[in-house]
Amino acid sequence: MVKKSRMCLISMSPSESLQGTYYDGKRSGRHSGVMSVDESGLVTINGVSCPDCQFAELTITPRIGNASRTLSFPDEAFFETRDNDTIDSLIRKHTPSRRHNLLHSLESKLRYIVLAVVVITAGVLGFVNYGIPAISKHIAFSLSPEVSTQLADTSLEQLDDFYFSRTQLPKARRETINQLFLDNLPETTASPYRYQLHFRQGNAIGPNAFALPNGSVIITDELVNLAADDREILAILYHEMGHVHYRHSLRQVIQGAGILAVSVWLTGDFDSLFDWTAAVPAFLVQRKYSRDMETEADDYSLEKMLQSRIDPMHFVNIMTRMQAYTPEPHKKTKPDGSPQHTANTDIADGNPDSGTGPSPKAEAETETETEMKSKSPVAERIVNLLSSHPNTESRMDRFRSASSSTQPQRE
Amino acid sequence: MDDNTTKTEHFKFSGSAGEFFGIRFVNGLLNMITLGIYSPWAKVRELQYLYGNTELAGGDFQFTADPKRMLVSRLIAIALFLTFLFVENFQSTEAFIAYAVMIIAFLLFSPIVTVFVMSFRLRHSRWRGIHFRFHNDFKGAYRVYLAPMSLLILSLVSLALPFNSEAVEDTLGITAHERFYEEQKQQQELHSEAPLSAANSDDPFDTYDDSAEEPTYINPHLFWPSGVLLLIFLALIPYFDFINMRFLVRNTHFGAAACRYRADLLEFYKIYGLLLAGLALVALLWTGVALSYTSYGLAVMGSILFWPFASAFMNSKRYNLVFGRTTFKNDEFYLRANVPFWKAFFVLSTNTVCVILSFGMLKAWADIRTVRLILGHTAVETEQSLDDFVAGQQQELSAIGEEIADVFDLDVAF
Repeated sequence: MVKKSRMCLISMSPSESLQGTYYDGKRSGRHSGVMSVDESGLVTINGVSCPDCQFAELTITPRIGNASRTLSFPDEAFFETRDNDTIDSLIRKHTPSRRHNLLHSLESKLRYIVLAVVVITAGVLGFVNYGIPAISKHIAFSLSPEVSTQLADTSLEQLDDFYFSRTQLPKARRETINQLFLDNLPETTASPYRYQLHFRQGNAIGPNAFALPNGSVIITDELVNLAADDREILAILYHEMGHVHYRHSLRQVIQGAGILAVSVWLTGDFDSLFDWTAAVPAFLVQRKYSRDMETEADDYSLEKMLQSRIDPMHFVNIMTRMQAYTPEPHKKTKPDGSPQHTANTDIADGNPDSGTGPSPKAEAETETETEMKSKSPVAERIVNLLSSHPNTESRMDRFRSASSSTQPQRE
Repeated sequence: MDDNTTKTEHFKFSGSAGEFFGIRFVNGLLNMITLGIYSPWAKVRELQYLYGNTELAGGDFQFTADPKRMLVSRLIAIALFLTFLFVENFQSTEAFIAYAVMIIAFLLFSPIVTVFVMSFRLRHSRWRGIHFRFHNDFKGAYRVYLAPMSLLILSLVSLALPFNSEAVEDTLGITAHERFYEEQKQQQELHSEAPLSAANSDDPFDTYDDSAEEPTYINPHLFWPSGVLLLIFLALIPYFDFINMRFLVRNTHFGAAACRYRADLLEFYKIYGLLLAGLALVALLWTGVALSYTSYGLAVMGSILFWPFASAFMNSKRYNLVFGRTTFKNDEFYLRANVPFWKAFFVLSTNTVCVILSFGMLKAWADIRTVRLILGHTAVETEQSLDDFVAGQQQELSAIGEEIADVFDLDVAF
């Protein structure tokens, strides 16, 4: 690069000159000066010996807010200034073909920012509410069912080690329930799973049932003993079959990845994954998916019950009793951070405040209702947002109304 | 131009939360529309905004990276990340092997990655026309990271000892396990008279497996090697932190001027010691709960409050220790940093609360506040002129490592 140094003394009209600092790129010395561009486009800097250069030859950094910008000469020398408006008018005048600051005009106009906020919010809400569930459902059902059985979730052996002990139910009772289970499985040709029922004493878990992605369904002795009618047990078993049938465990994994993908997609980097403030919305979304899947399993149960002409009221009855259940010695607790929320799917929520009713009673409905009313509506909504299962009352309501519409003769 | 009085030049940050908010959300929108392809441009734009609003002694900073080059490395990183997520959730042998290979590769290459990340950031940072650079000292990186990594891995591996107590004792010629198995046998004989486990051998519905309950012999003394190694690792964390910082600072150059690191190892131990004291206090609260001296609520409150305090404490103190103890050009220029703990606590904790409550909407505002806090308490102190720094020789920089770095142009959180 041939450089010709000369002193520039003539200054143009004020709107065409830039106050700034010149650096030669070799030393850190500052050279304050005023850059001017004449009619032919020649660049001069008042008080500074700068390389001979046309304005069109300068590399100008884009405008970003009011951050300072540089106008670089073909070698490493550059001129630094915060006089952004003058740079823009110089660009318009001398190099009109140059791309204008489209991004800056978007970033600096309130209406576009508001638009961006609205579009992003709507996009994220839409994607989280419909996109991710639909995509993960599609992926889960296009994968072979063996993938579900390969999922590295907690196995039955692990659950046995940590929570369960051997069932205390008489053999005959187990045979009856197992027969009930086998008789009501989905048609074997349609279902690729090896459904198998396991009996376990639930201990601290209490009356509950679980489904593993490979088709294993676990039912606790406490639940069997709580049932007044075998059709109540069947209602629960249908719910668990629904979890297996709809591949909920696999979909949960895919949805988890989807949530991560959204945050990377929006912020464009992985920083947000390590930022624990981002974990709060992710947790809430995971919980919402969990509730949606419980509802789906309830749908499956309800549909099967109606098909087999079983009164949906049986589901309500067993749920009511599960809610009011208190183990003999101390109040019901569920180990915190238990693996079943991520990998397995259980029938009832482990919310301590939903299961501390005084004593199991056949007509506990009224009791739970008063309990709900005594809580403030805001607190209740927060609890609902945080829980892995939908509100038990509304779950039961669906079965109740299904019952009354099919069997209006019920009291 | 030299005068012999000490001058202090403060960093001045002029970025505004409002402008940054606009930049963030337009970036987010473009990321969304382009399915993330735009993200390198977004990242560069944000950094250029922050750099361009940072002034020191009349000169602004510039971030000069080319987003096009960052795109490839980002795509590779995203592909690796998705693979990792996938294999993490499956338990087939292939998935496990892939998982193990990825973890080992990550550990093996992390020193190189660290060097690349530093090199990328510094090469593209400029002030008064002079670029920073990072000397690609891969050997030095392994020297720094090998010790903590191998200690941690050794400690994990030696956890296998107690779980294979029988084999270990056999090689050592100890027979303690034989007595254990004899006792076990006697116990079992006693138990088998009980009616419970005698049943069910012909029961097809009894899938409960007791064999898992059969205890394997564990010699508690064999936990010692792993425990001692872990303790050594914990005790050396301040030292590892120190040599890491020293490594990063020593390889940093501003043009032709090299950096020196003037912090003491003792200063690191002091910070971590205070953190430990805080942790001990929380532990004391819980011990109080266990012995029912203090209430459960108090302990929970203490633990919850401890977190933001500890995080603000470590962030501010470590920042001050890194940027307050770095000198340039044979100690002629001192970086000064004194971010006060209470101010850091206020800014960082209110940031966290506001970002959570706004579902991330206020992140731009929080980031600007953090930068303003940090730069507001950082300065350069010197008796010399700031005009005499010279650019480094470009030829010397174009080593092989530099070219690899150009291919990847790594930019990971730092």
